[in-house]
Amino acid sequence: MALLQIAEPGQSRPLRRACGIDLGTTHSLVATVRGGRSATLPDAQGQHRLPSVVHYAAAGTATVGMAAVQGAVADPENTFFSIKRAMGRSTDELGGAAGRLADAAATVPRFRTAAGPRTAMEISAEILRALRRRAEDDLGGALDGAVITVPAYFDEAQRQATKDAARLAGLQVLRLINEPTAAAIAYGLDREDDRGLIAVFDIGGGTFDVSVLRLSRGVFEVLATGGDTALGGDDFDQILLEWAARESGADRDAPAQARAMLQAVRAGREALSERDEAVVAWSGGPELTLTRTQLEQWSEPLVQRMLDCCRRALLDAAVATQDIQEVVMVGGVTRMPRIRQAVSDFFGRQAHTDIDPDRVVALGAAVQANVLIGNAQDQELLLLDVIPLSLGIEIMGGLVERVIERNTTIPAHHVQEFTTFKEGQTALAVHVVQGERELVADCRSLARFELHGIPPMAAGAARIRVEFQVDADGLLTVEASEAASGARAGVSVKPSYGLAEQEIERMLRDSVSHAEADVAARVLREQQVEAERVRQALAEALAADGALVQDAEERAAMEAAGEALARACEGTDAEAIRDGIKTLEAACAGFVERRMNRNIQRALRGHQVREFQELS
Amino acid sequence: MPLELPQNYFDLFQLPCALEVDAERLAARYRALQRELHPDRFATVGAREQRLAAQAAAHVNHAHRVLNDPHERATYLLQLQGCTVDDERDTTHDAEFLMCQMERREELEALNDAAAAAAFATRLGSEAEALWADFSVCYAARQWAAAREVLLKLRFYRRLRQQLQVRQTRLAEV
Repeated sequence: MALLQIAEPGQSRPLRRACGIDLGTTHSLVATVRGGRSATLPDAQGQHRLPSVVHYAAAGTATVGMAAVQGAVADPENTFFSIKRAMGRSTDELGGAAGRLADAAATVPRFRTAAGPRTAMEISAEILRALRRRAEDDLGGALDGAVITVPAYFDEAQRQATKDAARLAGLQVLRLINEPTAAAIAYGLDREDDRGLIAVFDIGGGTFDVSVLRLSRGVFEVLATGGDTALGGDDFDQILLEWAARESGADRDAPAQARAMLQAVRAGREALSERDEAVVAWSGGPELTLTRTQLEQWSEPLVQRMLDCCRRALLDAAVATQDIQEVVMVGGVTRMPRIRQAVSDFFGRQAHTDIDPDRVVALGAAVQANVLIGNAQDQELLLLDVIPLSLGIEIMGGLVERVIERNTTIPAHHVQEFTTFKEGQTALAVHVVQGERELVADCRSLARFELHGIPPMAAGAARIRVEFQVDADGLLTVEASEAASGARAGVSVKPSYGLAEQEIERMLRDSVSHAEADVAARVLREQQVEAERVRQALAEALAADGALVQDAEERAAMEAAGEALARACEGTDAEAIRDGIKTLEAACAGFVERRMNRNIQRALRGHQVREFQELS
Repeated sequence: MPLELPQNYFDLFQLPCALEVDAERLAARYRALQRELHPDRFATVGAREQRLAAQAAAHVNHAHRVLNDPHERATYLLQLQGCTVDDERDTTHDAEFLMCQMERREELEALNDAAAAAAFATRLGSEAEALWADFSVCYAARQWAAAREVLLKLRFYRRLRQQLQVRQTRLAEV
């Protein structure tokens, strides 16, 4: 039964609909906040975890979740597991999965499916769409926004790919947040005394993250984050898979058999968290016995690699193990007794496990979504997150000059000056890279662009400013300019193997042509919703801070632009609405700046009051 | 920038312009500023607010990073006096000091157990502390060039300490 309107007692404005999504390698979840409590949402069968598996049928339809898993054994070629591992990856980086590509030479990797070639973003979008529907059924209407979690160690390309997938799924992304940070929120907010250092130990299907945070009165400040994007729960299963193949003589290269074996060993591993012995069996194979001792012995190197990541993260955070007051465990694999033991020994204290490690990320994401959408105005919650990897540009000799160091708090902005090295040089190639190594070849290449129109000067005389901006989602924009000529060039960093804007629009068109009849109608609807949001935001701002309007003229200009936009919304011209939004935003520019400056003044004045509370 | 943010980092955090800062006060003021200015506060409003907030928050983040680190703070204090230090190009020319640093480097390379590393860390700490005392004297006497020279030496200790920490972590991993 859908609710027409959800309102909390004593609140005049109806609540907006927001959800938190944990888009995982093996499983995904969605959670919402209802009546002040965050809860994950089950499907019709009562399952909260949606297997991150997508199956394409020849008719072009996609099946997601358990149904796709069940079909996988019969039709492995059209079934996609662990697609998150391919997010933001180029053909070269896909490794074994590259064999499934439709065209190995294409810049954006596309997988062969019965429904035609599909990118990792499109496949992930199928999962997100399923979760979006689940949230919309629960909240009783279209979502206003979502927070999606990503591994803290995800790089630029992977973050951008996640955002693109969300857009393809029709989600308005309020923020991408890091999984360990989301988990810390789920834990931190229930605490009586919310001060202290928290370590989050997060084993995903394909990634491992560790983050160190300081929690102080609702502010979650990430001090350092570390991890390994090529180390996760799947690696434990791979070890067991090798063992099962060795013991049974079964052919691991036959896709259907491999799939069945994988499900069997995973079930065996999970059973060993409760027992000392488990039977591993699959159809057509022998019954094998696996002991906990064997599992622990074989997986010890993986555990040690995880502890090494912890050491590095603590070093970056400049804190000692004994300073950590809480340890939070995330991910189903952390149920393994050996891992709990290793983590407890390392930090010298028992890890928290009272929130289901499979759900904790989605629960925290929903809390943050609820705050960002404006439903929890009295809740003090602010995340100060960091970039996981240093950002820099290529300089002479294939070396990297770092511009923003890893673990810098975002949003971040940094300007570095460079110069030309040749007499009369009029252009400069800017190569943006990410990573901790000295050589460009060892870092990840993010983008390349060129600055032209530098006036000819002696070598070293030109002053070229390269400006890096990282937004609150951790996404980077780079701009280069030359002082004398004013020549400028810049990019929103999008790797060459990522999706171009036109491609996203084409995919959106393709996806709606299957599902939701009319493309034009959908685009129009999107613009109307956006216009409504902008007008509402202005109305709220005027109601709160009307005194900051400079004069009658400014007010009249804003009102006129608002009315023009309202009229445009009644029509059917999406382009006109888009223009109307721009006009309204331009009319409000001065007012918006004054509000922001007033906030600054308030923050500066508020120092004394806050401090009294904080230090007391 | 159309924003009226104090450009002087000490003013931004309302702290006295000095070598020593009250860490708790800095942390509390940092949080208070971000509570008002972070883009998350403007997640549902216009794109322009988001951009302005991101600019303001980035400025606060950078200022915090500088004041929170003794070395960067000292560099910034000298810069406020018109005495710039270029971390890439400038270096000390004190030959005796450079020789001593080479020795320290060799000692660092030779470390192979945790106890020796800890003893070495203590020694580095007291040597750096002596230099900080020198810096403090020069700064108080407004001898900017002399203070700058000490800071350039301290940079060696900063790098040594970083390398030592990496080494200590490696020793722990074995």
